[in-house]
Amino acid sequence: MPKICIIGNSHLGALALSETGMKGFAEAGYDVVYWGAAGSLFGKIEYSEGQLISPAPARSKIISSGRYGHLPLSDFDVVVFYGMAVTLSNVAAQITNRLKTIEGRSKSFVDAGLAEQISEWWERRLGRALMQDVTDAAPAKKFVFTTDPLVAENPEYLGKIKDTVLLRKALDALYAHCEKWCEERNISFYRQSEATLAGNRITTNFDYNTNSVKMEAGKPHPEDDFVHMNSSYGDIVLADLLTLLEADRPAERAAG
Amino acid sequence: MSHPYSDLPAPAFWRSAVSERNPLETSDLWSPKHALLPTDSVVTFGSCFAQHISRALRRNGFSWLDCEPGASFVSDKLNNRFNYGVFSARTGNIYSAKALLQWVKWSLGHETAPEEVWERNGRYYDPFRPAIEPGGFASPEEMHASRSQTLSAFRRALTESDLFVFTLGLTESWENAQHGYTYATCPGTNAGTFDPQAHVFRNYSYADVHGHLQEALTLLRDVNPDVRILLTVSPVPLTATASGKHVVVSTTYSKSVLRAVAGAVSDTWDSVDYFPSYEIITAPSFRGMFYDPNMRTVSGRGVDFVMSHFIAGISDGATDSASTDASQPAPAEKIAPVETALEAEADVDDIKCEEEILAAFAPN
Repeated sequence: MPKICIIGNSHLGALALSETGMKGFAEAGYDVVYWGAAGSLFGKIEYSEGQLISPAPARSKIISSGRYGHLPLSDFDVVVFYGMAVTLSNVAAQITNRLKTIEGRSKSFVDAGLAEQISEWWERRLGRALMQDVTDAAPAKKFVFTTDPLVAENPEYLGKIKDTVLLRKALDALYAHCEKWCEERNISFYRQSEATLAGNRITTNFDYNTNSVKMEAGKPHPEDDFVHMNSSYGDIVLADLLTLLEADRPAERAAG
Repeated sequence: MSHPYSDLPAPAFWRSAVSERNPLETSDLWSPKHALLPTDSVVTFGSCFAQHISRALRRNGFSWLDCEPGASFVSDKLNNRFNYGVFSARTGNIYSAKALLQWVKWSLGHETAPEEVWERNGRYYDPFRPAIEPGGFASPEEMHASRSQTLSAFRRALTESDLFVFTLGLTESWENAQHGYTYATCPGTNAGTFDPQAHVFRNYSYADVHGHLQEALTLLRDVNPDVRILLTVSPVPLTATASGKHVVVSTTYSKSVLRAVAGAVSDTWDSVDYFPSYEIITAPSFRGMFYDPNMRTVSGRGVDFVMSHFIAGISDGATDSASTDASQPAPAEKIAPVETALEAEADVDDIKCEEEILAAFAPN
């Protein structure tokens, strides 16, 4: 039975609470383990000698349903990096508003500025560094990465955006940068499903945000939390991930 | 017996000023006509060597005016690659006095800038600053929009500066045969297509350069009557000459004309000063020590040496002025710390010179 670890932070809740999604994986014969750390603890996870070391092993153990405090990577056939605290909405808004200040400059300059901003941002991501450590240590393993969902549609966020067309361009460039980085490391990149986006295509549909629940405590997120998604969102992500993984399996079997 | 030479100071005599001195201890090369205060807005334009002056001013706490800044949120490297922050507006190198006159006339609305666009491999280049946009512009419209921004910025540089620094670089130029305007480089080198019917070589005479420069400075003073002007001559020899003469002979002609014009204008205009960067690098006492092995480009050490004299000169001037005008802030740390050779060399590597493309056409 292929064993999958889905590593992430508080965003794992949407997946872990998806009964449909989990059922699909079980029926396909996968053993799925969630593991990670919430909030600022996530950035303190380190890789060392084949293991991911949790800064709060007891809490990581709760997330993994009592199975792992620290995470031995050799136990898993597939590692899914879920979110990894790579949140695109805020950086896209920041970059958009910066690019707005050089409107009227040549396209080449604006594009170069956009690329540089993204490159610098990406280099600073702790999640990127962790993924790099893990994939360097176990290059033969199957890896998948997806970013955190875009923020759910809300007036406060949209009010900060000075140009939605430019924001969409920034988001596309951010996704493209992540995807290219993944390709170079043989990581499958999963981009947030268009089906989960709001009509503006720059935020997540609000329906996937309502009644989202905290993974560890099981309590709902506050009403003004627009970043965590609910189990309906988890249903879609897990179904897509299963499709992605199943697409590779016949080849694996044939090779075996 | 008394005569005019009997009471002259040491710098007036070759023996005391040069022969009996370590050349690196040569002093009193320049006493500025006008004080430069840290609050004075300085703009810099001209040939490659002018870029060193803007850097030295910025490093030493003077107010270099950037009228067409790049993006505040991108790296200096990226801004520099797109020629932001190189000169006070994104003109690229202005090698000749005639090119300066054109920029002045276009920016002040005395003439309309030509519509001509150079094309190469589907990208578009500005004939008056062909290397300004790496890889060229996406369309002629984008190129014209960019030039329009630069003309506005250049106009601001003319009208808002307290000190206008211009480095004269070349007398050789290529002009449009029909309309008479000068290009920044020979068509067909950086971009564009050379057409012997449409493009004509000029090697400006003393009278030409003097006329172009005087007209440009007159127009400048018309819109900014209080502006002071500082002229320099680039000590960098020609990369190539189209005059039919040896490049050494052409270089001597070119630099002699430019140096003579700069001297004549600064001697006759109260508002114009001359800084001897040319002499500091080329004087025989320095034995060519400030040139790179190609004997053309100036080494980082040489640039440092020139700039130390420049900063020392304006610092002395500022101190003198501050002592008589208590309302002005005293200059901060004025003397540039001696840079490491490595830093200086790296700076020199960053200097932008469109003209250097010509070296690529030299026979092996």
